[in-house]
Amino acid sequence: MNPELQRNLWLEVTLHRLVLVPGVILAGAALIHAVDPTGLALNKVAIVGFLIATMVWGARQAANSVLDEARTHTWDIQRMCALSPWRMTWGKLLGATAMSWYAGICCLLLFVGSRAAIHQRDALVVILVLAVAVLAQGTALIGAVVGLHRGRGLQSRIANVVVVALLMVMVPNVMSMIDPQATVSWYVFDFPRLPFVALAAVLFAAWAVLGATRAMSTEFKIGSWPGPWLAFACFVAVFAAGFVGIAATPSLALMRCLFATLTLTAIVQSYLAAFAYSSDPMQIRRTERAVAMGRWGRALEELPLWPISAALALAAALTTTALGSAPQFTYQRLDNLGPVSLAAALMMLRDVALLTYFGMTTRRGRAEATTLVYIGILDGLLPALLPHLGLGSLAVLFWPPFFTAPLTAIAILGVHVALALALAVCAYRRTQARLNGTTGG
Amino acid sequence: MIEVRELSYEYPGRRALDGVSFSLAAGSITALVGPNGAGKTTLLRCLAGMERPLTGAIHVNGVDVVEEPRRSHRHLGYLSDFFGLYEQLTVRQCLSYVGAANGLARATLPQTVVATATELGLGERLEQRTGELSRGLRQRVAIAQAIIHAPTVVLLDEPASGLDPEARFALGELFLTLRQRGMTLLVSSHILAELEAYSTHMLILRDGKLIDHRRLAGAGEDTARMDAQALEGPQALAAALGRMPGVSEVVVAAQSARFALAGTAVEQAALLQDLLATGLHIHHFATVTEDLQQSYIQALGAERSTS
Repeated sequence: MNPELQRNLWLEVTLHRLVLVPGVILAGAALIHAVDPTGLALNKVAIVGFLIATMVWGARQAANSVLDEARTHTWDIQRMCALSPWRMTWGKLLGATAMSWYAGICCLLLFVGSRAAIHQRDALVVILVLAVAVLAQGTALIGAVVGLHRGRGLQSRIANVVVVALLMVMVPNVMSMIDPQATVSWYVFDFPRLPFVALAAVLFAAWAVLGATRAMSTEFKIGSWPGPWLAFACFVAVFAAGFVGIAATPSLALMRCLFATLTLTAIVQSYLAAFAYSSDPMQIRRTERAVAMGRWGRALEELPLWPISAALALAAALTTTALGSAPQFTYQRLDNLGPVSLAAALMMLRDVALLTYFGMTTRRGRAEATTLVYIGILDGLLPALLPHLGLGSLAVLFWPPFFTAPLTAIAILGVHVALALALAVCAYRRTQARLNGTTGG
Repeated sequence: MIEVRELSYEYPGRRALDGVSFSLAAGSITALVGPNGAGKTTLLRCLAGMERPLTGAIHVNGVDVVEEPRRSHRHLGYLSDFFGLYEQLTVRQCLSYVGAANGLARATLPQTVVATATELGLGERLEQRTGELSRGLRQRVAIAQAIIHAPTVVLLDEPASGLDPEARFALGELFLTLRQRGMTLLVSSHILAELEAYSTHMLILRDGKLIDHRRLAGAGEDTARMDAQALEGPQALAAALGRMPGVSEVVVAAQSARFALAGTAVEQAALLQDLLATGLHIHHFATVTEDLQQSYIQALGAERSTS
């Protein structure tokens, strides 16, 4: 047995809990059956019970399986053992959530038992809720590992509570997906919604588990190539592009739409990666050293994820711009985004360059908040304030006309990027100059 | 056994390790000493594969720690300065988990757990939760976790911190036992008198640089450092020593003669008999162990004067 799974089972599973959990569920089921003998209410409550047990409680447990290691100073034991990141990940995902899965499976048995006959729809519902549970738990584990990487156990715990609350709110959304009559339009196809959503949930759950394994690899100081990170951006883009109203068969409009979606996905990915791992400027230094030594494989492993996503965003934005845009801009279709996507990519590049600058010049842990304040000043406060001071013409220098004059926006944001990058490079050089005269630690 | 070449590590705006190179001989116990902030913990964490250095290479038993940290962990044991234990698990469960996680065979794991616990004086505590143990016993469980997979190199960061004198003494005895089992130990501590009791080598770090790494006099060598006094005076004693087989590096001090003697206790007893046979009245004859504190201060002073 996976030692990590075994350890979690030792901690989680007791005879008392094994008896108590089904006892409480059966008592609740008896009560519901007494109120509604048709079994319809029990049927729904069983699924809600499964989601609360696995998606909410399970996600909390998955995150705590890492956060508790930091709190009890046992994380070093796990980092020093010889288990692979994959075995550690699934050991935690299955072990720490063992009791929530136990409770969830009791609920699923109630669900199946309350049906007069099992239909294909029921199997799809089970697949959907199982995948959603794994997705929630995998995502919670990623969040916890990243929080630990940033040395923010307490903040991660607070975030964990917030995420659990959000997941509680999402339970009705998952329930609404179960409607067997609904359909979904994706690209030029119409699918029954339940199998479509179930398949999508399975795919996203697989990505979540892969992401958790990669995050664990990073914590175990195992170098990993950024290929899956880029593949995830492409997957999300292709998936999301199907919903933005392109009804035509393969065409220029479809290509525009795909690349515009890829641009936006990569921009979001860049922000997430930059804010998640921004507090490690030494990674940039290690990358630089690897490049200087001609160790390209190592350089790719050391390279922070945000430049990779940023490069993808810029490449996709340039392609989108080159493909041109439909004459009329509407928010429902992305095929007419055109050069606006390049302006958006430049804006992201400016923001992450600012974050990198503050990562090198402010005290550890303050770079993100400081960057957000400056982004707020640049993109919100100044453009709003300047017109009231009679300097309305200067406002465009801070919030350029993205949609009315995208080329002007690109030029202005290009200057922003140049200034922010110059600041970041200067800060980096100052740090290195200080290092040349300073040793210790 | 463990080879470190040009190891450098940086924190933002600070170089914690600067081109550190050394190798540890198999079966040695090396005292890792240096002022606060010298880079001792960073060095240990890099050696344990828990931090990626900026440059440099670390090999343990031929395994590249930087490239294959998880594989290297089969050869490494590490005790962190702020170690934790799974307090809800019993000693047996803790050791079983760490053993299995480090690749020990399922079939032999129970016996290995019992053997390791017994070696560390925990044989009677196997079914006790670690949260119920005293500080000293918890330390032993942590060390047991670090060595259960029989690593060839054990890294210990301030292992005696928080222990009472009796427990510290027992810890020193334990390290000597581990060394006899063929393990190589690197021990970081601020308590030099304690390190002196069991260390064979000393490695001094200051400001991230290695300023001294050498074998300690009188520690586990084939040649013993000796100090002797005779009523006839140090000159006469030194002259007699110069004629004795196995004796070298004779130095006349104010009251005594100091010298090196090849061999162990048997050769020392024979030499004493030979000296008495020459008619000298020997009233002091002892091995000399190096004063770690003094050597450390001297090494730091010498480094400061040259830098």
